[in-house]
Amino acid sequence: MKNLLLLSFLSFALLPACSFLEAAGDVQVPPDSIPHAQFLLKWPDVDQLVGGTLQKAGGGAMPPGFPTSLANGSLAHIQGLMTIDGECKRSFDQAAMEDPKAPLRNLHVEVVNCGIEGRCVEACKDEYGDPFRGVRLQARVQFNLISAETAAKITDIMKGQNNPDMLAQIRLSFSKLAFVQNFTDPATGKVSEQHVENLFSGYELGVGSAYMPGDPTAVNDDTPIVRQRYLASISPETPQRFELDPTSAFSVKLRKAIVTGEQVWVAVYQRIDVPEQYLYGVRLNGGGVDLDFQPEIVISFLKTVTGAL
Amino acid sequence: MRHATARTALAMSVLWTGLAATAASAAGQTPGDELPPPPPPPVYAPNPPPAAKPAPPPPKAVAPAPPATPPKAVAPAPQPAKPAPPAAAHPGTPPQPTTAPPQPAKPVPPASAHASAPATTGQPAVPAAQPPKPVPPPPAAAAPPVPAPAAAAPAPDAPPPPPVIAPPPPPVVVAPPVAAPRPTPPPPVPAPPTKPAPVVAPPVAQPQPAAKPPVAPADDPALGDEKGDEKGDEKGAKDPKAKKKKEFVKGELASVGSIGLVPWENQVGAVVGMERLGDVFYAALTPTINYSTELADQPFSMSFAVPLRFQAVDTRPATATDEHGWSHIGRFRVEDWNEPTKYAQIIRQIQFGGKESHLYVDINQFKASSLGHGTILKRYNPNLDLNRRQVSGEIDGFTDWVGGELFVNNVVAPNVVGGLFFVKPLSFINRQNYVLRSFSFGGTLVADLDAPLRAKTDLNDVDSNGIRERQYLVDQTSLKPLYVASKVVATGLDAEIKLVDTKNTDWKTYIDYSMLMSGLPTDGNRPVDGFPPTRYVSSGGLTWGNLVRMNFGSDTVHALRLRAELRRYDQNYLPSYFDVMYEVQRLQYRIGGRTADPNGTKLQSILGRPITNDGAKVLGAYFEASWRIAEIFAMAVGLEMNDGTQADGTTGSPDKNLFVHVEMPEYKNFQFMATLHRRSAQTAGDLFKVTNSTATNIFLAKARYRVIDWFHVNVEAITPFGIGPDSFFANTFDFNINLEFGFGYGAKK
Repeated sequence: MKNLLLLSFLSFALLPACSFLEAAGDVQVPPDSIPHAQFLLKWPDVDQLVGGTLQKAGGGAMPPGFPTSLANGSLAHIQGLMTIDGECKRSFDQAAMEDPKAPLRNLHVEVVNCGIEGRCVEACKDEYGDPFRGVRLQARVQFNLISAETAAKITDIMKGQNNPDMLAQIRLSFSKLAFVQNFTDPATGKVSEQHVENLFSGYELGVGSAYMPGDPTAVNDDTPIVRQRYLASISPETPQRFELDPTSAFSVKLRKAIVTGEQVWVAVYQRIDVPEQYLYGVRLNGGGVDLDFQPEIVISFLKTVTGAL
Repeated sequence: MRHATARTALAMSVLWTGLAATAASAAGQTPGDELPPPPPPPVYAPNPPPAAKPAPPPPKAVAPAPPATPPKAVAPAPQPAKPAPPAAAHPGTPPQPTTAPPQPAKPVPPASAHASAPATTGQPAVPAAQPPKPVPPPPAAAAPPVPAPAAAAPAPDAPPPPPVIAPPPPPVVVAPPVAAPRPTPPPPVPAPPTKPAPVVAPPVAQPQPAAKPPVAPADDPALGDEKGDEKGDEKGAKDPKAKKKKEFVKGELASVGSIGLVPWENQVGAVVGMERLGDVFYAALTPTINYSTELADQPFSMSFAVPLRFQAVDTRPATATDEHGWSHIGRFRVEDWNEPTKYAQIIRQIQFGGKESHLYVDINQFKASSLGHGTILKRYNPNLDLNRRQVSGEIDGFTDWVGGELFVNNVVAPNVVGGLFFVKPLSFINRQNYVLRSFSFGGTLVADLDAPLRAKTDLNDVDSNGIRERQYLVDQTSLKPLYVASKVVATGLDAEIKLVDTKNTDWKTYIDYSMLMSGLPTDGNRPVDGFPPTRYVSSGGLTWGNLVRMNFGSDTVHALRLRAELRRYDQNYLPSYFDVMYEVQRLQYRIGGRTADPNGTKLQSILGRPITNDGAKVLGAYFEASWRIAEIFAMAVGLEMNDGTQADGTTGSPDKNLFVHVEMPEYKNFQFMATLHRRSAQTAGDLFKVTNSTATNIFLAKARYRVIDWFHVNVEAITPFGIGPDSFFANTFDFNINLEFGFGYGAKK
């Protein structure tokens, strides 16, 4: 009888500790172990995007009085030019970034003309599958998410275990994610920075495999992380966390790559849809995406135990 | 949970009942029974001192009762409110002392439908709460209050018996056949000539089998039918009283769907343990008091508790305003008591009557409930979301002509409400014919007035874990997920009839057509907070079912219950829409996915299913079997299948379910219950795969052991569904031990 009583009391006292232990089993990799990412991802020069100075259709110089450059042009001008040429999409590639310290490479930008009936509009659907009219801007750049040094720290924390399931969460904490462009006051000529988040819709930032555009062997495993609705809440005062969906195919690949202890490059993609009525308000030259985020990794030491339950 | 003394009393009562029934049966009350040898001297009925008591009739005096006398001959004591004249209606008819022994001077209690119940099945009545006592001899001058109707042959043109006239034979009725020294019965033929008692046995020379269907008053509730009304008992939980009285045991034989053990009786004490709500752990102290008694000859039990929770640790990530963790250790959880409606949680159970009763009231926090045949609401348990406590309510009532059932999932703020109303029109023609009397048709209406249409997700990351669209938006105080609410309404029409009705077996068949109705969003899958535009959608299904109930044994009653249904329904319909998992699946239909889907509510998942294959109907089947051995053991299995397909037509629809339940209601100092529900399997094979994912399973195992009189240990291993750290419904494995201290008080029941 006494033994049973003692056993009951001991069990009562010890069992809740198991739950506490489980709750305390998640450990976040210290932020200083993963470099902070802060850079301005600029849109390409318009003249480079459209292929040099403007020419008259069929060749030859433009008539006097017509602009020979779209440097100050808006997306409306670019769309007009593409429509004249019957183009649905025009792309631009840049292997190296202007800032050599930025952990970026292989920028690929696409301008999609969602304005030609019967040819291009059908391919332009918003995230809910509804048709979209305007210009879609897409940028894809390779980003060094885990450097070799960071990878070594992570494996240290994991105590040599290379179980991808231990990586409970991979997330990005954004303190800045802003679309900016230069604005020249026509009266004073003063140039200032202007935010244009209210001029587009369908924003999406995500990550995927770092394949090169046009690679026929590449598998599209892009996984969205940040959507339009969250942009307004991101600021240095109110940083926002966004988890990489752990059930996505890319997430599975990424976790396997991280536990190898080697550096990891991923592709970061962004997309905006500028509707027709706002095309005149958005310019590429001098504009870009201002990013400031901290990658975070949460390691669960009990994942292998509880995963079977 | 019962005190040992209570169990002992119960065991004695059961033993008494069994022996008494055997004796009664031996005395010829059961048609077709051979006359058994006289039983041994009574060991259960203390004999009055012979010197002081008139000599009882020898056993031989009992024997003349015709062995083939059908139950109907002895069942209805044709007595209205006043005692009937004694003796047989027809002079010269042999008296039937076995069925109507001399009564003590105690006046016959007023007749009532329920009180008359024991007489109809040929089973002597033994008040469950009263062990048999020596019967004082009636005064010599006392007129026998109950006649010997078995001996009275009905006049050919005798009018039907008045309803509700059979007074319950007092306990002494049990003893005479076997108890040797008994009070002297009145003279065999003292009855004055009087009006023949209707609905009595045919002459001795004309025995009839009791199971002959056309006239079987034994199944007439108003005339003392222990089985109760067909629909009235359709969803009944087992009634311990039924066993005590040797009544026909029916209703739910096992506590499938219950999430807890029934509390002990007549004790006051407290339970100490740990509880988890979401990410927060609490030390819990729950003072409890329980009381059981009888009220108007019906079991009446109450259990109350006051759950007091004190915070231990909050495992949520720290925020700008709260560090969480151990910072609030010891804080009383005021959220449990900060609204008047939350005070209802002190009610753990208030139950009056049993499903066999004409009136049944059940208010509780444990049980699952069904309505009618269960084609719309079956084993719905409002408390399967273990983060919330709801006190559900149920009221049933029936007569020979009409009946109904009402259910609310929360007696304070109900959102799932349902009702069933039925009529038995052929009872107006002939209530003595069980076929006519059992025929009924009725209508059912069940609605969720707060049905999630679209779940809200944690777009603003209120818990700062970065998970937004994959987890639900949860009220961090109440831990209740938030959603855009709509309504789901289910209606049904049904008809049923009893095909077989014997003492130990009955079989009824029913047909039921039910419909689901609601509105579906027409704005795509946008995760918006406002109420979306909707379009009306409805679907329906037909069910043909059969229910067979059997009892075996005498001393220890084995009850068997089989239900088989065939179903044919629309692709966007689901039989038993309000089922055991409804409280979870109403918001997150796809359990086991470990991710939130704003449009994955049950409303959208079922009614919004794409119609394929030219709208071909889904064929389904349901089978369920339950077996109960008194209070010792019970088990049940159920299987639900269909040939539905997914939208792509390649795999089965996730509506295949299986459950296995084992239960030991009380065995010495031990109580045990275990249930495994395997839900939402895609194929039949998935239901039986041992290696199948446990994410869609519900496992509830609870045991209670009495170490000493005032100390019990409760052990539970459960996989409850609740909102956890990931803020979506998922089952987690919890193993808990609670300590229970309690002291008995009052009379043990």
